[in-house]
Amino acid sequence: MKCSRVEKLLPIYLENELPPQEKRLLEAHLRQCSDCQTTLAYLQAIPSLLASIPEREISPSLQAKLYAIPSLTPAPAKKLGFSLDWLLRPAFQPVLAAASVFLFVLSFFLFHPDGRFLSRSINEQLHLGYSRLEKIMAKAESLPGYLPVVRESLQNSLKSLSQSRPHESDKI
Amino acid sequence: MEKVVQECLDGSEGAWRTLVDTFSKRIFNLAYQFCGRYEEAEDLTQEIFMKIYTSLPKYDPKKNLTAWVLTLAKNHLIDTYRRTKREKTQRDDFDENLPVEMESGPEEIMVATEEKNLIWQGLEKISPDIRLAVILIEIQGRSYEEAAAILGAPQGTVKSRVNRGKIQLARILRQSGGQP
Repeated sequence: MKCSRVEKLLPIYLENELPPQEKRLLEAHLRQCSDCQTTLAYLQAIPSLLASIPEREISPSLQAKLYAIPSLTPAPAKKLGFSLDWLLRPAFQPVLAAASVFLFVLSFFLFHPDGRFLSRSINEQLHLGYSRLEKIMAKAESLPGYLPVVRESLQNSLKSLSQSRPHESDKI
Repeated sequence: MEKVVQECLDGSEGAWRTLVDTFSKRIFNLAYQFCGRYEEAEDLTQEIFMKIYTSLPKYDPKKNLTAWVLTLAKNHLIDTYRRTKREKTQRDDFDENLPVEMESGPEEIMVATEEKNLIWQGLEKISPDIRLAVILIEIQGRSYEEAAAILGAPQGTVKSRVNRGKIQLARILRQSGGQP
């Protein structure tokens, strides 16, 4: 057992609260270590030295000042029928934390110098995306009317091709 | 005592005097043993009582009044310590007129007073939490249950603080060459 460990255990040893095995080890160390024996002697002396520190009486002038406190201090306000103590309960802390994060993020939009630019840019992107979507939809709607024209032109080009190259058109 | 608190809130001067008479000596001694300076302890006691007076509406009658009052005192002492720790000077000299065993000779009396002075000065060198635990348990002789309620810590923690305090004081005595 090391001296540092013994030092920590000595107050518990003095109160006779050490488990038997640890007590045997500590006593074996004490028999060999004069340093720890000295520490033990100091520790034994300390409670009586501390207990000998006497109580002091308070002075009459302090007593008078304490009596006079109500006349010097505004009367304490009486407790209201309701209180907001529930806000400080530990169970409510996650809600308060989430609300703080939300307000923190919101503050970027409301109070940050670039906040307006940021929201304008977001709006522009949204509008751009929406107009692109509209164009795609419009093209998709016109597609059924456009298909016969494409088919006709394809057929015409195939015909002209077969006429110019009769042997290859057979293969096709 | 809960009735006294209500009467204080109703503006009764007599009730406030009862409250002062009940707790002033305990709070003053707690402050004096904590800070080690008589005049500073007087100022601290006054500040603590002003805090008690303004906090009376927050007192919950279901709670122990003594523990509530002493917890306010403890909080004020720790707050003040943290605010002013760099300004601290030495503690007052330990009173040399303290009673010692009548059978002791002059040399033994001198040694005993020197030891007590070393312990008294040594209190300044230990951390405020540990110091308060040592004061409540070893100097004032309060129970671990009462000290735990005042310090707002489990009894095991209070016990561990007291043991650490004793070890630190033993080191201080040893370094100062006091006799075991």
